[in-house]
Amino acid sequence: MSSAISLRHVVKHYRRGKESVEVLHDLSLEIPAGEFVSLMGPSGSGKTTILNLVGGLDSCNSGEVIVGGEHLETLSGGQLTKWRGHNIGFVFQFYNLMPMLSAAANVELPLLLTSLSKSERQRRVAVALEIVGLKDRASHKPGEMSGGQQQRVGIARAIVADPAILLCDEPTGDLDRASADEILTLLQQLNRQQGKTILMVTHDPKAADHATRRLEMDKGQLIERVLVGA
Amino acid sequence: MKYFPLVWAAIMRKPARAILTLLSVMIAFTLFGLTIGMNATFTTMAKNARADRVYVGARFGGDMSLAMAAQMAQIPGVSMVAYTNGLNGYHQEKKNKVYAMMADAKLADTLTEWPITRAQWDMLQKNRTGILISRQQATLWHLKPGDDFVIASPQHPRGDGQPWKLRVLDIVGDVGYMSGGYILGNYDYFNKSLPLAKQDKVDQYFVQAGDPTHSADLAQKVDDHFANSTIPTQSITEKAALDVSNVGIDISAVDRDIALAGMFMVLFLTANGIAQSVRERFAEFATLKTIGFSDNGVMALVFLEAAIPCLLGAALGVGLASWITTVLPRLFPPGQGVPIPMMTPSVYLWAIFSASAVALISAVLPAMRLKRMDIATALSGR
Repeated sequence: MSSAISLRHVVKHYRRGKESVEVLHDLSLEIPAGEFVSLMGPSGSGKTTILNLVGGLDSCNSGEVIVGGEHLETLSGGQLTKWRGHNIGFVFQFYNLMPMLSAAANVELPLLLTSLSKSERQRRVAVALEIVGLKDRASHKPGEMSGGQQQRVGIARAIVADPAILLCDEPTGDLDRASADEILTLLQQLNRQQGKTILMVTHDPKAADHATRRLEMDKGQLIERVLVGA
Repeated sequence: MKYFPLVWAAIMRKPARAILTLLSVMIAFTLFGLTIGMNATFTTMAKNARADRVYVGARFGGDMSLAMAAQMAQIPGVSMVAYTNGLNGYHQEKKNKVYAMMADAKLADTLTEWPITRAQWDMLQKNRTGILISRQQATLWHLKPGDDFVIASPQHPRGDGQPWKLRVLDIVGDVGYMSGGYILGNYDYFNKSLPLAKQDKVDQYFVQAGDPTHSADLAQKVDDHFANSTIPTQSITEKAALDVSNVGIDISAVDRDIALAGMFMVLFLTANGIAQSVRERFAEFATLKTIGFSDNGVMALVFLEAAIPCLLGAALGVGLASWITTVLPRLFPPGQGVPIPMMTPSVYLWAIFSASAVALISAVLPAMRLKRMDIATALSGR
């Protein structure tokens, strides 16, 4: 199976005042297309940095980041933005919805960047909301929905442009157990039924159990790879 | 157009702030429209002023005697003397103030540049109760030829105690420096209808100089002639009278400064509002960039967010200013020396330009900040 995500000998360090802090040390990682991978580890271990590198939100100091066959380090800022819009769906811990827009308008945001007609955009939004089970809440604003429902809207927004890869940063971190399970089941469905490659950062071992593969990080290195079976 | 709901939602995120900003911009642009409109009036007045005409009034106020006309005509350099007396009053209600210039026959030969034909001037002399009314005034009072126009005048009551019942003879063109329009009536009829004690009075003489280059000297000569009379005069050339930069301070410049101050006020207000709005939604902009909005796209959203209240406020403000200029002639009737702002196309163009400039300048810094934004840092909330 071809790799959807490939990190080769990646080094990333941040400057904190005069000090340079190395977050990723010669890290290599392969994630085949269609895999659901959870990434665990303590705070500061470099989980979110990996997510940012894979999503083209940040760049590495050395090494290669290849996502969907694209060498991200060779793309300019504008090219990265365009690439991200077509290939990556993001799901955030705190949903990051526009509070003044309805659920449907939030989901429509990535489609505004396309040349699709209004009716086609509306059709796709309706499909995305149906997948996450929120078709009847399309006109509701985020403030009128529960945390679980808001995260479903966030997932609908992530999948509406049909990206191959979903990057989830603590998607259940702000939810109760029941809502978290619903969201994780939804992600599993997207992985199994639509073949989405999912990379999910989480602190929650139960959440990690929903993935097909669990990776653990510590101090900028992958220290354990546990196949949990799907 | 598809981005409009996103921009509008961002503006209306805090409705009270949006409405207060809009009202502030509107009020500033009302002031802007009126001041720039006033400058347009001053410019038109100065441009149309005649070099050969001298206005003569009573130095200490009040009326002058009709007998002075003959004396003025004898002063060397004077080629013609015409005169008017003002009929001040109101139409139907006291708030509807009216001023009519009751003109003698020679005024036709003095005000030759006014858009009044010889036939219309003759009509005015032949129909003693008739008036010629300019288009602006006709619109204001909803008059057409043949209509009666009744003026009640406590200052100039008729000898028989009746109000002045005048008939509209024709509608004539407006004159740039007669802001708000004008009404011309028949001096002889007016004069002879007044009580005997109030007859043979003149409120303004129009003295025409034979040589336009010496009109200022002529004004001095007229004043010198009547210096020791019971009614000393105050004469001024039309050029000087209509040039607002010639009254000790440059009123046009003061006007411009007021408009500029208003614009700075709007600039600070809008810039502060936009900066605050962007600061509050930094993570939201980071999200937009994450899902594929380009730097330029996000900057355009911020510019639109600044432009919509500015342009909408400017449109409402200039619209309000336009409405005020239609109401002002009722409060300050023409001929009272109060210029009325003219809402010329250039005023609207200046308003659009200024509103766009304010929007652009106020959005530059927040937009640049968004362009430089590090998405990963912004999303982490650091």
